[in-house]
Amino acid sequence: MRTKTLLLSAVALAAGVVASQAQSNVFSANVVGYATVVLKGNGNFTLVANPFDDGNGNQVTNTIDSANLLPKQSQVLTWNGASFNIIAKGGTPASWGSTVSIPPGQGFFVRNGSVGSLSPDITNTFVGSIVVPNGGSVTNQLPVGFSLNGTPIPYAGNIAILGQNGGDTNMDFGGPLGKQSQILTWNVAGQTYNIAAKGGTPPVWGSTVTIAPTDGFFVKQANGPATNAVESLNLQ
Amino acid sequence: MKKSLILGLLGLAAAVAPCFGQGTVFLDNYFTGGPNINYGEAGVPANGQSGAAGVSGAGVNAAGWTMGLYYVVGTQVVPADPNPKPIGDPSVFGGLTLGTGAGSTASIFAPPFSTAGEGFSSGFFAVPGTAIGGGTTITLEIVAYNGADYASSTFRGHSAAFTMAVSSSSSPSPNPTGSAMPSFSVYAVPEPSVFALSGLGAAALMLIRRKK
Repeated sequence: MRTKTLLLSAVALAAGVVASQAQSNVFSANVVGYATVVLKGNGNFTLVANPFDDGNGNQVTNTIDSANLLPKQSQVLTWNGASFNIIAKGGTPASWGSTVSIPPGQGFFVRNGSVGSLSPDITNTFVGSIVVPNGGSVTNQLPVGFSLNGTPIPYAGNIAILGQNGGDTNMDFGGPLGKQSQILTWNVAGQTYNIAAKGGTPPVWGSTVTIAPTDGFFVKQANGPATNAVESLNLQ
Repeated sequence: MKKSLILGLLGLAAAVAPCFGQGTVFLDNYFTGGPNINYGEAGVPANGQSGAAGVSGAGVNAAGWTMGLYYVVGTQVVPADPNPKPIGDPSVFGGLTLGTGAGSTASIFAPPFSTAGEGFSSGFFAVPGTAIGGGTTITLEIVAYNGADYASSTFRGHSAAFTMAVSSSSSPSPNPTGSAMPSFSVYAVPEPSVFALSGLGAAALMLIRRKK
C-alpha cells in the first residue's frame, strides 16, 4: 500500500531535532515543527486538531488564539462523548470566558466570530513538538460510538481508502474499525459533514478519506469492541 | 463485481446520516442577542441575593442568576400558571420535565460577557426522547432563578411556553432557545405563610358567600 504520508513536509516541519539533555547520559530527541490552518470567518465553523504539543498544557486559548485575533462571540467546541462542550469569547475587550486543555490527537471545532459579523478568515499556526520521538509510536483510542480525533503526528494522507479495509500505513484509522463504522470530515465550504462508511463482506470503505495534519474528524466505531489506531514516527 | 461493490458502498456512504444520539438544543440567549430575562418588579436584588435592587423591566445585570429549562416532547398546550406572577413550577402546573445534566443550565450575566439578561450554557442539552437526527418538536419553558435550583429559589420566574425543533447532536450549531423563547422576568416568591394566609382568606370568603 502506497503511503501518502507527507510527513512533516506538508506542514513545513521546522526540521529541528532538538536534543535536550535530561540528565547525564540520557538524551531525548524532540521533533519540533509548526502547521497552519485557516479558520473560516463570518461565524463559520472549522474542525481542527493540533498536531503538536505546545509544552505548556495545550490550553486551547493559547494554541488557537495566541495572537488574540479571534473576535468576540468566537467559540471552541469540544466533544464529550455525547454532545459538545462550549467555551466562548466575549466582553469588551473580548476575552475567553474559560479555557480547556486539548492534547494533540483530539479534534475540536472553532467558530470564528458570529454569523453576519463579517469577521475575516484567520490563519492560525500550531507550534510545538511531536508527541513521540523519532522511532516512537502513539496509540489513538477509538471507543465504541463517536470520538472526535486528529492525528497526533502531523501526517497528511488517507485514513481510509475506497475499496480497502483501511488507510495509509502509519495513519490507518480506518483499518481497525468494524463494519458499519463511519468517518466524518468537515466540509468547511458547505458547513456540513462528508461521511464515509465501511460496509460489505469483507468490510471495505465506500470512499477515500484524506486529511491534512490540522484536520479534526469524527470516528464512529459502530460495533464493539473499542479499538486503537497506532501511528509511528519514522523520520529518515 | 468489484466495481458494483464499490458503487454500492458509495451509495451506502451517501445514505448514512451522522446521528450521534438524542437531538440537542442550545440553552442560549446570548449569541442570539436576547430575548432578555428581566427584573419583574421593584425590590428584586440585582444579584438575586442581597443589596441594591435591580431596575424593574431592565435585563438582569448582575451575576448570581441561573437559567434552566423545562420541556416535554411534542407540541403541547401548557396550562397557565395559577400564580398571580409567573413564578410557579412548570413541572407542577404544566406537566413539563426539568432538564438536567449537561447543557441544562447557564449563568446569566456571567463574566467576561456580562451582558444584561443573557447567557449561554457550557454545552448542548441532549433532549431525552427526541430523534437522533434532530427535527423533533419540543415544548419548552425557560426559567431563571437565584438559588441552587428553581424549586427552592426565593426569586425566580419562567417564560411562557414555546416550541422549537431539536437539532442533530452532530451539529456544532444546534438551535438556540433564544431564537424561539419569549422574554420573561424574575419576581420574589412569596413566603409559604403568605400562600397559607391567601388560602385561608379565600376559604373565609367562600364561607361568607355561602352563609349569605
